[in-house]
Amino acid sequence: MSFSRERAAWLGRNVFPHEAALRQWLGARAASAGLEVDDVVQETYAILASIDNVDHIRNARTYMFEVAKSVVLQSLRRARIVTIDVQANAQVLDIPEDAPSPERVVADRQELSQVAAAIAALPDRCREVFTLRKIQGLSQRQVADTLGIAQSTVEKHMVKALAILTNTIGRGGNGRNAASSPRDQRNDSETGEQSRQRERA
Amino acid sequence: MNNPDSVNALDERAAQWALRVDAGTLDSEDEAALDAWVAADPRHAGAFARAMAANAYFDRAVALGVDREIPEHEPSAPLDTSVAPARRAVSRRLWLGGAAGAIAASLLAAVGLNRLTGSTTLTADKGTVRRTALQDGSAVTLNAGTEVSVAMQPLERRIAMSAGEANFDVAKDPARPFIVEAGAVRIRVIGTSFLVHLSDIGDVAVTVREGRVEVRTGTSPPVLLAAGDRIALPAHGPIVREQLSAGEVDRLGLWQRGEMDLTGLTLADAARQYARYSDRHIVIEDPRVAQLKIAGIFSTSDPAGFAQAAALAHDLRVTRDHDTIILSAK
Repeated sequence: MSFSRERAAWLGRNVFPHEAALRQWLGARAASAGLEVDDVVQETYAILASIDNVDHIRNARTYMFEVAKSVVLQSLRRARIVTIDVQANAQVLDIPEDAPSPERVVADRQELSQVAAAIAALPDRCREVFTLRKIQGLSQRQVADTLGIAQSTVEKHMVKALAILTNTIGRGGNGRNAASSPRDQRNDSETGEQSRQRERA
Repeated sequence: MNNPDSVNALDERAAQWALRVDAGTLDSEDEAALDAWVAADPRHAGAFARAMAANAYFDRAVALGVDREIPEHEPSAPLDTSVAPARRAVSRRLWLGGAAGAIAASLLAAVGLNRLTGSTTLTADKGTVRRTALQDGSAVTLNAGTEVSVAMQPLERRIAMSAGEANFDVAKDPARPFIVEAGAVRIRVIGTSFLVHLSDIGDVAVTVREGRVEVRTGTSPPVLLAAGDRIALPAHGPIVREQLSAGEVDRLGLWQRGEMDLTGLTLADAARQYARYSDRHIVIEDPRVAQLKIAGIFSTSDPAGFAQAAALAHDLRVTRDHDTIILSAK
């Protein structure tokens, strides 16, 4: 693994909560540069995971936006043809001001209920497995014993639960801010169908 | 993608790797497979980092008590009774049935098993609050910088605290007392929720939120505390016992939600509080500024936001230098 558990915790605490806002901000900007929002977001995470030290980062949200911006600008520079539209957009890649304030406390509470609602909305089996595994802290084996299912099935439900929750929170609630490229849609429907088949099995 | 339940194959694969890394079940062969997968496509590295980040984010949400916010579900499965928001509605049958091993320790905590004593060590690092479910249905929430060892024995449940602050939600079990050792003080419980603070110099404070607790130190007779009672047992000096209002008891436990009440503290005291949660230190050189008082509930993770609020309230200047935030008079 290329980065530490501490870095994962840092990303989870400081970066992931702002992913939905980043996607929204990237939306039109990435598209007009011929980029997928997903690709920019992933590259941003890859960079934040790989930098040596994050201790100097004072405002992680701004830093994340800066990294995403540099990803967009770099690919603009790599592109042979830059349209006028894109140049105009490069100038408006201004990062929105968002000074951290004590009012965040309230925002955090709202965030927690958003997460709670997302957990409640998981498919039944996913929710059960997630609750036992994460909230009650049972091991994969103990969850399997408790529910009378195979450990591999527990893993599948956990994977699905985490992926769904990640998309629900990371894409801002219900996937409205998601990049809807044909590639994504194809993948989505395939995976959805596969998992439905698994559930029937 | 209008349906949030649909996820793409890449995200699903990344989530699988993140969960395996988190569970610590990778052997060297798996590690190599993960490295190969990450190297295979630049998008894999990012998707994996994102999944690790999301997993850590949900762990933190769980540690902050997200389970208490989850709306109740239609009882579609027998297990739903165990996921109800009421904290001690945990079904014992479930725990005893499922926990074949000695301790079901949470994924959230760094867990070290001492095979000789059968005890498990739980640690909350700087800047984190960790809630861990125990095998008996009890739960321990550790404030930043706290370490406890847990030994679940047939006749007693024993927790030893070396320093820090922890909240205990104890599952009722009259046959098996729950004993917390904090420095020289022993706290014996039947089933309740209480807060223990142990300072670096051995001062202990116990606050009972629910139920009853017996506190004993040295050879003195045990003191019985009820809900709302707080007892301070300094390493040196007289024991002080007081009755707190429900609001005061709540405020003492705010750190479990990532908040702290700094009402009535001086800026110097507040800076010391933040030093427990963050490596970004608030520095106040001017003694007159250090003595200014503040009020309010603040996020433990946001020293910069606090400094700005204090600066606004007292017309101060905030300057930042690497890992320090300096508060000074204008």
